[in-house]
Order: sequence, then C-alpha cells, then structure tokens
Amino acid sequence: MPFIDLQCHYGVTPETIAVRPSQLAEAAVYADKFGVEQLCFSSREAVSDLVGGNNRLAEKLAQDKRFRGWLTLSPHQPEQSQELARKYLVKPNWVGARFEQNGDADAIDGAGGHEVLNALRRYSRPALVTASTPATLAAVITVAKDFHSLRFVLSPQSDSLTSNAISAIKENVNISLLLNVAYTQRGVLERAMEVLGDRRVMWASDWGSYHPAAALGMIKDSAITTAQRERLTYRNAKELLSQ
Amino acid sequence: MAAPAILDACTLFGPWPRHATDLSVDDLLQGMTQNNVTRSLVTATSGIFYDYRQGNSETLAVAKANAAHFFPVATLDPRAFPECLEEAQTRAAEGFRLFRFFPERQGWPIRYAPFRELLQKCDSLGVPVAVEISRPGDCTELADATTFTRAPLLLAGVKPVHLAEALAVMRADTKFYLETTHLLAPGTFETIRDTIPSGAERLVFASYAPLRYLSVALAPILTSTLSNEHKSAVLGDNLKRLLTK
Repeated sequence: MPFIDLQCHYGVTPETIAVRPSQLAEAAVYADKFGVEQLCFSSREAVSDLVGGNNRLAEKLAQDKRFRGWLTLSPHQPEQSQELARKYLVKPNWVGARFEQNGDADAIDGAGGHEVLNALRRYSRPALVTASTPATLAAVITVAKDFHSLRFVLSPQSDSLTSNAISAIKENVNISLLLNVAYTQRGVLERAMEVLGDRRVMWASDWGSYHPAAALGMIKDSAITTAQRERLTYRNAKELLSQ
Repeated sequence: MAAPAILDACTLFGPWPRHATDLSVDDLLQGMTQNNVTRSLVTATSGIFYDYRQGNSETLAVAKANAAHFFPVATLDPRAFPECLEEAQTRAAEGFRLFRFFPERQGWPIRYAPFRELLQKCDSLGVPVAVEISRPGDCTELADATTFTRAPLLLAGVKPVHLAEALAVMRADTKFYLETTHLLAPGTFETIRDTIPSGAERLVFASYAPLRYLSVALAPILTSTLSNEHKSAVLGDNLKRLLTK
C-alpha cells in the first residue's frame, strides 16, 4: 500500500530539540522502507525566519524527487508572504501554503490573514493550518467560510482540539482534518471518518518531530476498512495535491 | 526481533471526560492480546476524575476478576488529606503494586503540603509512585519536593517538550524512572540510553491503552536501535524489577 506523508518537519522542532534532529537522508530511508510516494515538508525555521527558512527548505527539496514543500506563511508578514507565494507556489514541488497558529495572536482570521489568503486564491493550492487553541480553531472555520474556493487542511495540536474539531468542521466541506498521532486518542480516527466521511480525513507521520512508526502504529490499531486506510494514507492526499 | 512478552505500566478503564465512549476492560484485553502484552498495571479512571476510594475499589475488583492479566494500581488524592494516608496504608496491604498521582487533572500543585505528607507515607510503605507530568517545571518541582524519598518514582506523561528537564532530573537522582507513553520523537530512547546513568534500565513502557492506540507507544520502541536486551528491559524487565524493589 503506497503512502503520501502529508506533513513532515525539516529542522529543529520543539519535539526534537532535546534529541538529535533527524536528517533528510533518514527521510529517504523511511520513504524507501514504507513505500512513501511523497513527503511534504515544512520548515520549522520559517516559523521564526519566514524568508530564510523557506529558502533553505527550497534548496533541500531538490535532494529527492519525492520531497515536496509546504510554504510557511504568516499573517503577521503579509507582504513577505505574498512575495514568497509568487516565488514558490507556481512551482510543482510546493504543494501549498502552511500557517502555524501557535496562539491566539496568530489567528488567521484577522486583517493580515485575510490579505494573505486572498492572494492565495490565484494559485489553486491548499492551505494547511495548525490550531493550538479554541480561538485558532474557530479562526480556521471563519476563513474557510470567507474563502470557500480555497481548500483548507486543519491540523489540531491537542487531544481536545482534535476531538472538538470533528464536529466543529462537519459542515465546512472545504476543510479536511489532518490527524497528528501525538494528539489522536484511540477511536478518534474512526469517529472522524464516520462524521466527516472517508474523503476529508488525512494522515501524516509528522516525521522530523515524531518517529514515523508511531503514526503507522495508529493506522495498524485503528478499526477502519482496507478501503478507508487507502483513502486515509494515500488517495485523499493524492487528490488534494493534484487539485 | 521476535516480539517479547510485554508488561504495560499504565492502562485504564472507565469513563474519560471528553471521550466519546467509556474505556472498556474488554477493549483493553483485546488490545493486549493483539500486541502480545501479557500483563498490565491497571487503574480505574473514576479514581482520577471522581473519587479515588471508589476508583481503587473498582480497580481491585477488575484486577481480581482478571488476575492473569492485571496488577492493580491505586490513585491517591492529596486533596483528601489526611484520610488519603489511611487509604495508602489499606491499599498497600491489599496488594496494590503502585500508586499514581495526577496533579494537573485534579487541580493541585506539585508543591503542596498534603502531597508531601502522602509521598512520605508511600515511601515508608515501600510502594513506588508515578506522577503525571503536565507542564514545563513539573519535573524540577517534583525532584525538589521528593529529596527525602527513596522508593522508585516514575515520571508519567512526559512529552518530548519536557524531555530535557526529565533527563536533568534523572541524571541527578537514580530513583527516577521514565514512562514511555508520549516519547515519540525520533532517537529519544537512544538519547536516554546514552546520556543517563543506566538509562535503558530506567525506561518503562506505558501505553495509556485503551485511551490511546497501543501500537503508537509500542512501535517506536520496537523499531528503535536499542539492543534486543534493552528492548526487553524497557518492555517489561525494568518494571518487574521496579515492582519488586
């Protein structure tokens, strides 16, 4: 069964700062071992250094044809974000934009977020958005309504947000749910597929922050059908990235 | 390696707030069988979120009914001081193998006089304790609050963002052990093996099943570069040794 790993992390993350950060060569080994067709990286460095972090990730993406990138953008830096989008989101190895909402101050439903999202409409690429608080979860729902032609991928960053997101985004068909293994309690994956349907739930290993065996273990233990597994780990991402 | 017989240090049953369904004993037993877990230390969630005395009674009943699969683990709640001292004494006599504490979930701080008294009691009973870590600083406070204890102390719930603090505490005092539940960052077990005295001997597999997918905690250990001997230690031998101290 092939995989598309929709979220991998390049650089030093809060989860790996106390251990040796993973090297990209190890990502290639992981891809070989498990048949991962595409690995979609974002730059952790770009969360603090928007231009430098994205540029350095761009260099690394050339190392392996399976590597693709999420372009980290920021509602706090709308002009630089739009410039980066013009530079990278026209290239095939960049899959879309990524916004990291680390707290309420990063909510993308403010003026800066609207400005960047409005500019993104011309690229027909999805936007991956993390949510770390109830307000940032609500912000994703708000902008998904405002920008209904954009496809959003929501990545909640706690157990309770993951659980709450399932019912919260049910009516917003342009939002898909990306499950993070660290924040997915047993049964939540199954419930997400039941409530949102098989096509709106996505999988990633969060390689670079977490050992990929953990996210693979989640699939192994989950009570879903073979067809649902294929949707979760491959087909949904394939369709998202080829829109 | 062939999967070793596994001992799980933390499993649960009962209602879990914000979880769609109760954590059932049947689901737990099924997951254990599927993953070659021969025995688990089990705790009733009602002891965490409602009444520790009721929870401990439920735990004992389930452990007795499934004696081949479970060892009972009690929760102690320092908000019930001084009665909790008697509860510790009673439950130790009944054969409870470990006492668990949940400061954040029960809303009390680690620097808390009733907790200090209770730790002293547990230490006098010779029963190891496990304390759930929730925030940066918790490990440090716990180390400062337990300088007088000698029984093994398990750091539970430690996440990758707390790892540096856990490492520092473990380096300073060999009574500290570390549960593996949330240690999902790559290279974590190897780092602990290489940087902590007897590091691989102080890691204890704990899944929090059936609240969490059991394989999520198990797979990173099985696929780590720890030696087979160290994997066996983490997956059971360390806990066995700790419970017989």
